[in-house]
Amino acid sequence: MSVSVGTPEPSFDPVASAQSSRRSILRRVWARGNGRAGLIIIVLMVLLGLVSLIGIQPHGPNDQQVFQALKGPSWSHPFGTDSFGRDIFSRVQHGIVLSLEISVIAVALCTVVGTLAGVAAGFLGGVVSATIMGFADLLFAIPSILLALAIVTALGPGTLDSALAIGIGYSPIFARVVRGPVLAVREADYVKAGTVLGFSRRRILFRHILPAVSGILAVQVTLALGWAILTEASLSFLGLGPPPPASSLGLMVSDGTNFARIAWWNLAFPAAAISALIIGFNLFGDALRDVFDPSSGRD
Amino acid sequence: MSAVGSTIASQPVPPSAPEGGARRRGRGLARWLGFTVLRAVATLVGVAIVIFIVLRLLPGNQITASLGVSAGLLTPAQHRSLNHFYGIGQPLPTQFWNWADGLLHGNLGLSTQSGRTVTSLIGTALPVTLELAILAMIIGLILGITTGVLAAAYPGRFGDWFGQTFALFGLAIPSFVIGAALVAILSDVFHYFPSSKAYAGLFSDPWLNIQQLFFPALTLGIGVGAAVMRTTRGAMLDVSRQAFVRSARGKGLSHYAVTIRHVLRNALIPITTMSGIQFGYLLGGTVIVEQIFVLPGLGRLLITSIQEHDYAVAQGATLVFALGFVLVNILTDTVYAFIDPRVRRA
Amino acid sequence: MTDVGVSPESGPPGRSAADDEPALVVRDLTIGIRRKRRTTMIVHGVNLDVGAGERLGIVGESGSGKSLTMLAVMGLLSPPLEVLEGSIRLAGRELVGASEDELRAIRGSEVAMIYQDPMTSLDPMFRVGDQVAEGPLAHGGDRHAVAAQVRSGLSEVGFADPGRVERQYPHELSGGMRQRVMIASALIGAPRLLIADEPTTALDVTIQRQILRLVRRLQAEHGMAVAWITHDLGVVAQFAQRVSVMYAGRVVETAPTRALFRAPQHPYTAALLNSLPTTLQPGGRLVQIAGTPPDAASPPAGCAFHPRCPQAIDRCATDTPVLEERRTGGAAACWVPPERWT
Repeated sequence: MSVSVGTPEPSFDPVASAQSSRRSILRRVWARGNGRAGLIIIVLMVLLGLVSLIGIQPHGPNDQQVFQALKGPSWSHPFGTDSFGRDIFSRVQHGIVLSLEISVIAVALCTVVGTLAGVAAGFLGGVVSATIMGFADLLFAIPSILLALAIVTALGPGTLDSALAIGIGYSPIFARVVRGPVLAVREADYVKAGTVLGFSRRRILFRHILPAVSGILAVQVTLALGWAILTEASLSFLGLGPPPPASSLGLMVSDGTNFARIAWWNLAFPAAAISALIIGFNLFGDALRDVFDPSSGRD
Repeated sequence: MSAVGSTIASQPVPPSAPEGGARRRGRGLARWLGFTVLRAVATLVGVAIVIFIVLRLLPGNQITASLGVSAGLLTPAQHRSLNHFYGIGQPLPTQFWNWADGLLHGNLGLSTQSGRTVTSLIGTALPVTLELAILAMIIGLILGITTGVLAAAYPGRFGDWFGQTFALFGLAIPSFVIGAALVAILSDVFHYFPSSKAYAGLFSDPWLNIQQLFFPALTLGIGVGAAVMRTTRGAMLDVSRQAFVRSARGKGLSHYAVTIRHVLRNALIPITTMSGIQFGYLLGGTVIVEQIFVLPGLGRLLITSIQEHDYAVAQGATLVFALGFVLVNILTDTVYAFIDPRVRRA
Repeated sequence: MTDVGVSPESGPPGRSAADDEPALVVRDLTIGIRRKRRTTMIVHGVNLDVGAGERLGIVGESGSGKSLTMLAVMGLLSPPLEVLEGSIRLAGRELVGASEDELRAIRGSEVAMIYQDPMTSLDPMFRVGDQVAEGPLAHGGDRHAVAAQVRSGLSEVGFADPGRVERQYPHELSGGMRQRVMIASALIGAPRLLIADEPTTALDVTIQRQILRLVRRLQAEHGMAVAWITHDLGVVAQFAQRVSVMYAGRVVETAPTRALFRAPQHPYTAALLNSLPTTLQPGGRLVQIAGTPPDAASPPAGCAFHPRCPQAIDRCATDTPVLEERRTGGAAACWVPPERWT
């Protein structure tokens, strides 16, 4: 007999989570330390990037001031300048925007594809499920960065191509993660009752299965964003992202390593920006996961 | 590449065992082995096809890539003979069949860049990556399991806080950032350049070899360690809540015995799952780390071959990566069977 | 063994006379959670006795605190639960305030516990024989001697082929077999007191009877005391010499089994007995106790049962009754004696 005080912690119950209201979830996420921190970091970084689009930036990201090359942080150049005399602060701002752009597209892509695949596999079962899951396993077997590499090389570097490459790599994860709750809800007694009562498949799908999946989807989307930013940075680090003069953060880090000894700010600030973005999304995603699935082992 | 996918870890559900299945033990094991190998082969074939197709989508073809601008100076006859040599221009399925056939005979083709056989190129590069991956895995497991056990043993206290912060940063900071920072610090602060010397194999110069591989392995190992730490901590806490842990305490076992004998042993199952997944990410991570630390491994070979449209090499290298991943999966399953008696009897 | 402890006369009334030292004496045991702003009590001042070699049944609904009380005896309360007040004397030795080392020394050797769910109470990773041997080995037993003890213990609980069973894993055994293994595990240390926390609730009725008979036999052979927790009065009738009834974290009645069934002294006990289907005429309705059990952490003022009690008087809402001796040989905590029941 369990000795836990009060009610025992439920494990992830897609049936129950379908009924939680959206507002209460946000509040609970905000109540947690990691949720608060993550959300604040994300908002700050996103704002930092977005304001550059309306002109709030120290200089244009591609303005070269050759006589100012490789100068350290100062009032006019908060993050210093690079070897072309470009202001790193502005470039970081644009780098953030670029990262977010690519990541959002990539995650949108893999969410749609992965969720469709997962729902289909879970809902329809049988051969469909076997085929989809087999395909997912296949994509899994290829390390995702290799896949992204091959695709980017095939399609050429660029924003959309990067997004596509990254998105395809993460889709199998969505499919797998979504399939579980779909199966669980499909087997739930109230859904079976609905079928007996003559509910159409479409009704069951939209009114019962999708809401159950939304919780786990929210968690995965957040984590996927973090992962996409990381992969995008890795790809552009390797020179496979949007080509110069685009200020992608990974490329800045790559260039920055050449000047690390004499101008550490070339390496430090873009690296910090990438890390902050990823940490923010990870923290937020963790908090979301804690809210949806308290038994995930974090007290 | 640091991994973010800690939610992917799914617990293996031990199949229900028939009662008194001792007699079926031998047969069951052989059957399980058979299925596993079959699945592995199917996956590999699928991977081979996917890679083959993706690479064929590359614009430009091998000849122009390898000869560069001078390709335009070839006569049609020279073009045709080169086409024939490299197997271009034939229908795709034929090309695939030829390649697969060669593969089964140990012939992976020729590199258009260097003229060496793909097999020899891979043969030189593979040990480097293998050593790197194994070293990184060892570092990651040691880091992850020890911090995880300590964090779970003193939840809410310093060890836990420290471990979780380490996990957070270890997972979030990209491996290339860690690697770049390490290289910068080592060379600029400590004036330490093991990679400036030519790569030394493990058996030719062990000391130099370890020096050259340690920091790349550490870079990758931090990501692995972070994910493993989280899984360890979570699993230890989950298992401690199980009824049999209370039974063990009720018999008068010491806290240490209960933790190590019962809790950790059961926690090893999800830890093994996570380790297998991490190894997959690790293979991808070698690509980046070998660039940063200038190691002549498979990852670097892969990037260069893709950029140079050296199909045969790219295919071969990717296939080897996929094979590695599949082997790790098999290894993981074997480890399950070793740890969990419920799996063995199926 | 330290000091002698409580003498028979100073114990609460209702205990059968025993020459030996009582196996367990619990006085005013209060268990709860101590937080910065307030303390929440779940078990309120429980008094229990188990004489040497005696079979006590502890009856109560879920949430009555019966399991917590026994876990406190073993020192197995999981934080933040703790013993706030009271005394637990096991064969005369005070356990409240004892160090973890002291508690560990008595667990498995002086007192042993078997649990409700045999499916999850054994570690799936280890062979059954190893798990039975674990306890004695941890207490410093010799490996060969313990191995022999394991085999004889397994044979004692009814396994025809102990050598085979000890090499099996828990998932290869049925629920009833696992429970027998747990009993063997518990008994191997020859404890003075065996605590059985609803060990048969998760098993089907035929197995339940087997286990009951097994424990009765072993108890008689080893001369150990048994505290059997259950919510099933039928089990109590078959097994216990004395019964303690718990409600909302308190003991409301204690009596020898026959006396309890023939002449219950507390309205709650009476209501429990009344609800048993055996007293029903064919076609009659099942009797319930009106209302629902209270939250043990915040029981009603006065007697916790008074909102549901058909015999409640004004005093019941304000004063909490204490256990008082009754003529039948037991004790009950109630302001209204049976003579005045309606």
